[in-house]
Amino acid sequence: MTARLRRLAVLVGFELRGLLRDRKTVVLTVLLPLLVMPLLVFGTRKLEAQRDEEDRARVFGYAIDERDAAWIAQALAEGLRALPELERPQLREVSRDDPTMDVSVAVGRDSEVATIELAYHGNVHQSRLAMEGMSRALAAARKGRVVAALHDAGFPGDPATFVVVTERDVASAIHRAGARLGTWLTPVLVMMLMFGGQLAALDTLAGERERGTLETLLTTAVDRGDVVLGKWLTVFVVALINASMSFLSLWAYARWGAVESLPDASIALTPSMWVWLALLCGALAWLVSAVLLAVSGTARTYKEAQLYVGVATLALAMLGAASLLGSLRWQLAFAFLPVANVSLAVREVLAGRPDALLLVVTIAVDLAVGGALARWVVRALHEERLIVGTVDVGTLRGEAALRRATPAWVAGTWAIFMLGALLWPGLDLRLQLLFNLVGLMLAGSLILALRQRVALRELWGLRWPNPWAFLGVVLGVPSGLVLVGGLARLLEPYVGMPTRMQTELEALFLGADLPLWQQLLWMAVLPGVCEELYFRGFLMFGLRDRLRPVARCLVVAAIFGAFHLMLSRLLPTATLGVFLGATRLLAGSTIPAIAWHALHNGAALGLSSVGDESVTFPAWAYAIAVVGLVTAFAVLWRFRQSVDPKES
Amino acid sequence: MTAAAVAVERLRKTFEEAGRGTVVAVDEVSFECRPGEVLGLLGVNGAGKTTTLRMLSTVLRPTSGSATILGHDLVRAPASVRASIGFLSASTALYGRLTPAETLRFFAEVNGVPRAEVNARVDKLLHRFELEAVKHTQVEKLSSGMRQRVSIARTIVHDPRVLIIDEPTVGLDVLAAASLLEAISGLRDEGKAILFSTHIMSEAEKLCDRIAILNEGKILACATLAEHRASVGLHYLEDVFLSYVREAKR
Repeated sequence: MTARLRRLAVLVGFELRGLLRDRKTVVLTVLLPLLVMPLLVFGTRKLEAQRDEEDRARVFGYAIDERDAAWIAQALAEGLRALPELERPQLREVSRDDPTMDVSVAVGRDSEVATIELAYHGNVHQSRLAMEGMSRALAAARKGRVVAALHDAGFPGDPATFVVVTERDVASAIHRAGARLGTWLTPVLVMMLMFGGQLAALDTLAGERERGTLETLLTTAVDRGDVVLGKWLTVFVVALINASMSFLSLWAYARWGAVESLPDASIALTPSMWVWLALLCGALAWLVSAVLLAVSGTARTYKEAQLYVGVATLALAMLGAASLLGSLRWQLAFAFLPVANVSLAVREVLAGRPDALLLVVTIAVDLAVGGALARWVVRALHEERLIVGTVDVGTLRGEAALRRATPAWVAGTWAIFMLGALLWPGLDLRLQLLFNLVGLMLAGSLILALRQRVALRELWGLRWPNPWAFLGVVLGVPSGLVLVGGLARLLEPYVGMPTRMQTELEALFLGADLPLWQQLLWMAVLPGVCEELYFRGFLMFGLRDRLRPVARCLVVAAIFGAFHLMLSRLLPTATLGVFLGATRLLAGSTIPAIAWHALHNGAALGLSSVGDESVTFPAWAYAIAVVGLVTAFAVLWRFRQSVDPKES
Repeated sequence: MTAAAVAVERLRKTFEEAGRGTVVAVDEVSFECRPGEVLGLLGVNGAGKTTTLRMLSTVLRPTSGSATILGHDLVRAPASVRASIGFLSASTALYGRLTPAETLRFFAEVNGVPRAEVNARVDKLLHRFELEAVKHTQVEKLSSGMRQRVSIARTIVHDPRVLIIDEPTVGLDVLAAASLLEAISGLRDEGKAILFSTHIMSEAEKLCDRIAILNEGKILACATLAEHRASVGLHYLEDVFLSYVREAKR
């Protein structure tokens, strides 16, 4: 075992031992789940059974408009006779001003349609039941009268058996049970993980900070990253134990008959479903423990951490409840939304509709977000504000402060992008472009730069490059276009219909009958300038201290792909992002990347306007494109210009 | 002359504090501490002693200036610095739910003491600081004097060559404080370089080989007690200290 692993094992063992010695933690983590879940289920069922019994025995009060009394009373009597006994409501006629009246019935003035009014007397449930019972009775009466009328008119055969509608559910019992289980499993799991892990998490950083033991630990030889990892693993283990205890106890109680069998007990999981569920739940537990640790690590006091935990629980519960929204389709946009992605993925897996690609993206996203949060906590352990309550003036403003703020800023921008796409999908594309590109990207990075007093030329990389760099760009654009287009077509069978989407996108402009210069402005110039200043300018500048040039180029390209919010565009756009990032680094300037991006989009627009975008190039075209691309980067390399040693 | 174990050069720390604006907590202090020496940082509360020591223990990052501990740079090699020091201050507490034996074992292990040596090291320290009788009692149940003995044992469990000790006798009774000072004196005799901050004149007089007088973030003077006395012509350290501070305020 390496020294680092040994230290990590010591840290985790130490944390767990400390927690186990705290009776409060043991009770809340181990004993409480043994009682809470079964009690919750048992109590809920008991209450439901009691209410059903009361409802069956309840006599509902109804009032009839005097003018229609005879007609409605007769219809009601007919309907009640026609209904089977179990469906027959117990009704009692009362006057309109009687406080026990639940519903009143009247006949419409202009037509012979019975109108049922709900009369609420502080018990909506009771009034609704009364209304349903009344509706059933009147519908049965109406049906009886229709059948009688048809019979009287000489309808051949028995009108009651004419066009009989029967229901048949084509889903198997297992799938139905899976779908039901899938809707509530993640929300419950999120709550259990938050509940089970919070005590350990709050104690482990916020509590230690308050007691002064954190400073003791931070002055030992152990790395702060290892301190965080050790504590994270501890919270993860405790949260998992808590959640497992809850489910196991519920299962055991159900098996022993202490609570009624679970409604979804008929579900049968295949081995692959088990694997996916285990991976999804593991990723979720990983992320939830990271959230808890982040809350604990960034709060100055235990009390402050408790406050944040409430907010975090609410936020995660809302995300976890995505599975309850039946109308939400599982698509790439959601695969990038932490917690909600697991919620939808679990539902789909249990309903027997797993999509391997989306599952992998979901798990990767949650693990990555968990990792990013943990890194954030490591940084928080360097923050003097959190350790000793003071702030070094050197960290308040300037490039360092901007770099610290960059990841959160980009994550926020992406979240707004996604919310916008979800909430206003039909918004005019030009408005979307203006808001996203100019408002969020350009103005956002501008505001951050002004706030942190960073020179815009530095931030956006607006240095005049070696003119030969543009030769590289001119060579690279057609090659890049062919290769990116080829990649999109290669992926088309797996991830959707990029060309169709592209056509739809372009139709918005072509259909709008915009002049060419406007089309180029919206589709080529604006994205070229704004996206390059944001991704290859601001973002590459912001990540300079965290990542080496190649890693930075790849990470920024991946983020660039993710900002396009479509699985079909992720990889092709990210590939283009790699070309643009490499150009930015080699040229030492964002200007050639802007030129490349604008020319690429302009050329793609030109191809689509002549209807050639779906043409599949022959193999030799791709070979030429590869040669062209290599030549382009050879030129860029030959005339490279780096102003920062970290970029060379 | 022995090479300095701790070398501090124009170390500065400025804070931004709500309501106070920019505060210069430590203003370009420079000093050295050699093996087998106790260098005292003497100053009133808020003089910059704790901030200086926190920078040297890598808890805080200097705003400017530099410092090395056993040749390791504070900013460039903080992990190596931490591996070389033992840090004890009023703000470095112990884990209440651990016993003294577990505390020492834990800190020995995280500080990289080889596993084969851990038990022997722990037993030796428990014996040295007379903690054997309470070695299985949870720390939160010990008296403050006992706890401070556990703390000092924890600080040296990995046998660091440099000790940074910040006002260790705060809250201790006379006997416990005397016992602690004796222990620190013993560590000096073992050849450790010790930075010791205090605002108690008698402690500095008794323990420190050299005394740096800090006021409002600046070192006003750094010398042996005899040199200080000769410099200002006063005998008692309290008078010497006041003389320097009043001179600085003029």
